[in-house]
Amino acid sequence: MSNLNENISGRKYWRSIAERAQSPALREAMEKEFTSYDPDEILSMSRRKFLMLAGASMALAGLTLTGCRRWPKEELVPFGVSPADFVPGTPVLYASCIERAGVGQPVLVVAFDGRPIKVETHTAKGADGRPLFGTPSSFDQAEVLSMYDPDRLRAPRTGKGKGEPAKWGGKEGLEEKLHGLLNGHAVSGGEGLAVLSEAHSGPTMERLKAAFAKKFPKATWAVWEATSRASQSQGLGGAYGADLRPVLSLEKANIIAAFDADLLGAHPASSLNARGWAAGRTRADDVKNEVKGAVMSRLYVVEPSLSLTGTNSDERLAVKPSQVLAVLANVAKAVGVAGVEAPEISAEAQKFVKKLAGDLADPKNSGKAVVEAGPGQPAAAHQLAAAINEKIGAVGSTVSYVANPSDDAGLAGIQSLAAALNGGKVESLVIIGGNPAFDAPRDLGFAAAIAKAKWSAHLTSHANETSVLCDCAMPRAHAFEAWGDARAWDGTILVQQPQILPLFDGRSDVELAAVLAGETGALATSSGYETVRETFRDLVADAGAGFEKAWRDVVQKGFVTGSARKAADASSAKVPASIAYPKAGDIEISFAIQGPLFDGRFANNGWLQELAQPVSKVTWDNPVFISVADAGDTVKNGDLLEVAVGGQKLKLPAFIAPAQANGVLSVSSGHGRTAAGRVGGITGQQVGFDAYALRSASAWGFAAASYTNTAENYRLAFTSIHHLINDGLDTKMNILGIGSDKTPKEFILDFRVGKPVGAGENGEVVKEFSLDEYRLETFQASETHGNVRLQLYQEPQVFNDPHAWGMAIDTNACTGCGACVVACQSENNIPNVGKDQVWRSREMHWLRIDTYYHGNPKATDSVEFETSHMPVTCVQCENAPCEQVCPVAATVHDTEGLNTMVYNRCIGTRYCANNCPYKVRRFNYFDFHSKPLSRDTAMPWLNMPDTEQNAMVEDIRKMAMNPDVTVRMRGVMEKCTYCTQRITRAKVSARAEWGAGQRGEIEGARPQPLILEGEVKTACQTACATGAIVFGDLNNPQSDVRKLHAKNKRTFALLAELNSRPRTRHMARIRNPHPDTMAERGAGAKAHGHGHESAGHAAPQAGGHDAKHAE
Amino acid sequence: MSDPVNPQNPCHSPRFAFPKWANYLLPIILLSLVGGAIVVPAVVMFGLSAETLATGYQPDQPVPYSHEKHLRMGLDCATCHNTVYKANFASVPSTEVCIRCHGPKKDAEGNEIKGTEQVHSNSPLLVPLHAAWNSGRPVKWAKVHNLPDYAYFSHASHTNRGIGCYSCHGRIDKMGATGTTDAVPGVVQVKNLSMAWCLECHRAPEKNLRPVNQITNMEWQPLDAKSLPAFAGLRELQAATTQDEAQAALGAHLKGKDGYRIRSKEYMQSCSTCHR
Repeated sequence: MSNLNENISGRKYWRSIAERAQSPALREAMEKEFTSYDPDEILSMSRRKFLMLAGASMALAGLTLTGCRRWPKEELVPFGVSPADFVPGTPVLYASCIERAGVGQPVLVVAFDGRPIKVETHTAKGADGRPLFGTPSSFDQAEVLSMYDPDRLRAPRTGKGKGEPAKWGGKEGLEEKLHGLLNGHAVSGGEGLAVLSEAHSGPTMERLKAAFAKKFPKATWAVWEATSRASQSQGLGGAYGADLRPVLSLEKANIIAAFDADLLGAHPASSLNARGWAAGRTRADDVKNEVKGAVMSRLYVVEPSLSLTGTNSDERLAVKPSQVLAVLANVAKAVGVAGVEAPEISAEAQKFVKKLAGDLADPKNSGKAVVEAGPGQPAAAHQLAAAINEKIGAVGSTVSYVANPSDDAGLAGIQSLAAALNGGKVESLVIIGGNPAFDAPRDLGFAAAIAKAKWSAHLTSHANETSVLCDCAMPRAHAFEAWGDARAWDGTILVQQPQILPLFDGRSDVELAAVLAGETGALATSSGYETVRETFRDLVADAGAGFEKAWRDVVQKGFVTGSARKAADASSAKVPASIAYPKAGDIEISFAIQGPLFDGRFANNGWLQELAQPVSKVTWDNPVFISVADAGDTVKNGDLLEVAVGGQKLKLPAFIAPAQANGVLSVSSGHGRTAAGRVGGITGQQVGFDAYALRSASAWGFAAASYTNTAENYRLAFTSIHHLINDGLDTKMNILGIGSDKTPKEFILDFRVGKPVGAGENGEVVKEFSLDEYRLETFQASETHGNVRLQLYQEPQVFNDPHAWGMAIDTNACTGCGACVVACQSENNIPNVGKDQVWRSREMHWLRIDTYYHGNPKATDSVEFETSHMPVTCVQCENAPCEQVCPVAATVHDTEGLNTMVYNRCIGTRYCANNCPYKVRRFNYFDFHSKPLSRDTAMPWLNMPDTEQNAMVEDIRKMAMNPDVTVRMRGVMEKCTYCTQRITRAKVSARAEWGAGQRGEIEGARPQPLILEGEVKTACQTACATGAIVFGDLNNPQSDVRKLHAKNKRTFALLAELNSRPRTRHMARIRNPHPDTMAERGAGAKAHGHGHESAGHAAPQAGGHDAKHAE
Repeated sequence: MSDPVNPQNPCHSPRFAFPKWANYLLPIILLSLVGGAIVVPAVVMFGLSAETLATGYQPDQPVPYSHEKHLRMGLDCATCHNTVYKANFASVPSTEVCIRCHGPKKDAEGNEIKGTEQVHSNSPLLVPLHAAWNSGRPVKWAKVHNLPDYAYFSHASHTNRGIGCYSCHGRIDKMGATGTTDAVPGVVQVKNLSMAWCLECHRAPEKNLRPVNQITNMEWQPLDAKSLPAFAGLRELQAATTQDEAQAALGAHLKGKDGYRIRSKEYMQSCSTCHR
């Protein structure tokens, strides 16, 4: 048997395979903070030429003296007629929703002086006081940037390619054209008319589609989503004979099993799932406190490559995508689902099935377990999952099946539409949203088929691959610009409310559909408001006060109370009569992993392009994952593999992924756009690779593949090798030339702060324990150090006047999704830097998620491999090392414990970043905001951005900025300041209320704080689906953060031995593997003579400090 | 070639002979050094000081609005700057606010009656205002008090904590309109609004605190507080005979527990108080 620490020659916890191997280059980077670079390479010009240019620009600066004008003129521009109750510079929150792929996400949109700038969580609570809706995902957060994208289609146009500018109304306008066509088609009942749209779920679109079908009975309305979940509804259709969708209640589950289903990542309701999952994890605290009946949940995952859900699993099995169904069938048979034959599976898989089936069938877990299959798996898998759920009593408890509100019907719709087009049966084609020329199965030849229609039109936010093929492109209004509606995952009816008029004269899906359905003739002047309002006449309960009042209430709330769909009657699920198991290939490729760009629609969104992906931490690319064993010595990170699927070939850069199933490649789709824009790529300058080229209608989820390694290497920019925390465990000290046999960690502990007194000391940055260890009475994750010999300050500083801000980050609840990173970027005006700068370790994110792996990267089950996520941002040290070295006092403490950063005082020495042990300070090497990502051929797009620094920030980009936060310029250091602007805003209103006698003080708190618990929430906190980030006032006895800091045994200070005394405390991760797994690990440890620790978890015994884990 | 007169003396070479005026060079250099040492710092200290660069700014406004005239008629600052107590920005009134008085009369249904006049509606001085109103385009006022973008000032924080308009804006009630026949000049920046100036008050706010109902009173003097019933029991104030004594007594009281509860000096000078 094996052990987690078996075969470990390098570090125990590692963020990349290079780090595990203790690469000398990484070692150097870790100690230096700033990577060294060759200036000539960056400048792409000779030093002489650079000096010449520098001299010339200096002379120009001298001539113009733009910076030294007396009294620069600025204007104050008030309204002509001010809206009622308008208060300038004060954010207003609008309840609205964002619909993507047929699922609505309720949100609050923050509008500043009429500009939507931030997406916040909809805070509505149910009757039981619990939040009704999940938090917005990173996609939802990034909608702000998409809305202000300068590359959006700015006006209608006719003609293929670039086309000619056109008008909505007037003579020869689009309205007239469309009317003419529709009238022509109406004669024949709609023959020759076809509509292709994105999936919708809202009642207005449902109504309009019905009206369209009535008016044009012979017309086609097809729906296409590349991320379709149709296999799920088909499977449930097979089981129950109805179009259903599972709504999970993971908070009720003790056992969760996901079969190639990324419940916490790619799932449309991932934030609700994550909240439920986290509730089960937090029950570890209840178990510790011996709350009666409390059980910590256990997550089982079967998948080909590490997904976000897989990284959070307790038990994981990596298999080929074609084998997932076979494992599921074995589970079904083992729990006693009748009529299922179990095919043969590997011994490793059998062990896994035994553990899972044992847990599922355990009467203690009856009604407290749930199984779900992923959309990449065939319908049979979903049918089996439904049968298992019924067998284990999950239906009605942990899962309920509700009528599917989305019109997404999978591949069938687009297949028949493509056939009709090719058969010459479509004369007029209207495409509403989407990008089928790019993301439809390529074997359908949809791009070529568009030309077969006599007239085609595309309602689109950008001129993309599809719209250049159409005869007419119409700008599409953004979700923040138009009225609409949608249904949430559970069917709750949501209203989409605009915050701003369309920037580029766009029309919404509803407005165009209303014209197609003949409800209104006016496209030029149409308002979706009337159309949407009309729908709600039947939907809102008129409580006697008239429809208008009820409608306004619904708009204000953003949803219709109690409109969630009732659970369908789901009993006696049919199991498939015979299951066609997919044939296993020697090598298979999986397309199931969620791409950072969704299906490619966010390609021109820099926030998502630069968001480090959960497992690979790759930015601006979609490499193909390959297992460590498959890569062997021949394939290296970035090697271009020529992958062949069917007849299609594509070169993709390899990323050697830990814990990947052997014989499996996996790649996300959405990159490699040829008409996305300046950020997302155009022909010849694609960003990433077009994996859709490999996907066909017959093998949409996974396929058999082969690959050859070309000799070429491609540069991948991944951040797992950046900002490494030096825990001092690696090398021996060499101080002042005197050799020592101590590691820096030991030195620090022995000579500076004293030996640890706490029990949890294991010398690692990551602290994770098994549930059994956590339950020990002596357990304590934190370390306390006695005998502190050296301190930065003479007197310990307190910083609590009148508040003492602090944070707790629970790594036990963090899924690693990255929504907080995008929320932080949106809130704090953090720039994108581009791939080249990311490669140079210059990404600007204030908040990063360090993903640590532990164990054997070749492992295909969790006995040998685990993952944990740790969000790290400025921890606001009370003894801040950065403050000691700033020569201009640009970073100093305020009286409430914030380590403030004064941008206007910073001169950019970068000493502070060099001295920061947490590596959380970011330096503006360039004016990143003013950089238009130039794609001129003479200036490759990620070359020297500084040449563009004189170009002003585009006006439309300025509109996306948060006016409450300074926009930093080149040469300035920046970092997290606990959203100090939000604290200040709360203070201003608290004081105004106090001044007006409306607010008192908190009893028993000192010294007279005026801001109450919950009044200030940081951007990352509100974005966190699981509540893993808690912020508050440590002075307030009622505050959650104070309780977590003082009482929770899992709380620890990161790098406590440095005595930096961070205000942000982290909380240890608790694992709950199956007892068999623990036994296997224990056996492995004994067999290999690893006596010092059990299964890689520090035994919580006092004084058990052992710094040398490397063996 | 060697010197024909004295080959040993290089000074006799015609190539190296200094002209006679070169004798004055040394004193000139010395004088300009000494002069420069005085002039350059003087230019830097006074020419580039906040006082020189910032105060006295008095731009022309698109509409010759006179604060003097309106305040003389008894309007309060917060009538038009209506968010001054509740938001960071005091609000510049919309055109509609002006038109409510300066537009044509309205009939019973609220429609404007063309050609009629409320308050000086037909004055030629109001032509740009009516042009803006009729076109729907906003009036683009020139901003007088302009803080740098990295300094975040909140009107509400100050007006709710006893800092009067006067403390930063001066005698607005004595400022008229540039470009009119009034002898009163327009709004001018009277304080330099530099960080040093802000800190003067943040270090010692008691010098500027006034009772909460006197925020917009331009003529208020500390001794006036003697007669306010709220301060009848404040012995030091009642004993004061000069404005300075009265302000000291009043400021000390207002700063404390029974007044505005101004935070500690350290808090008031924290960077995060004004910068984000």
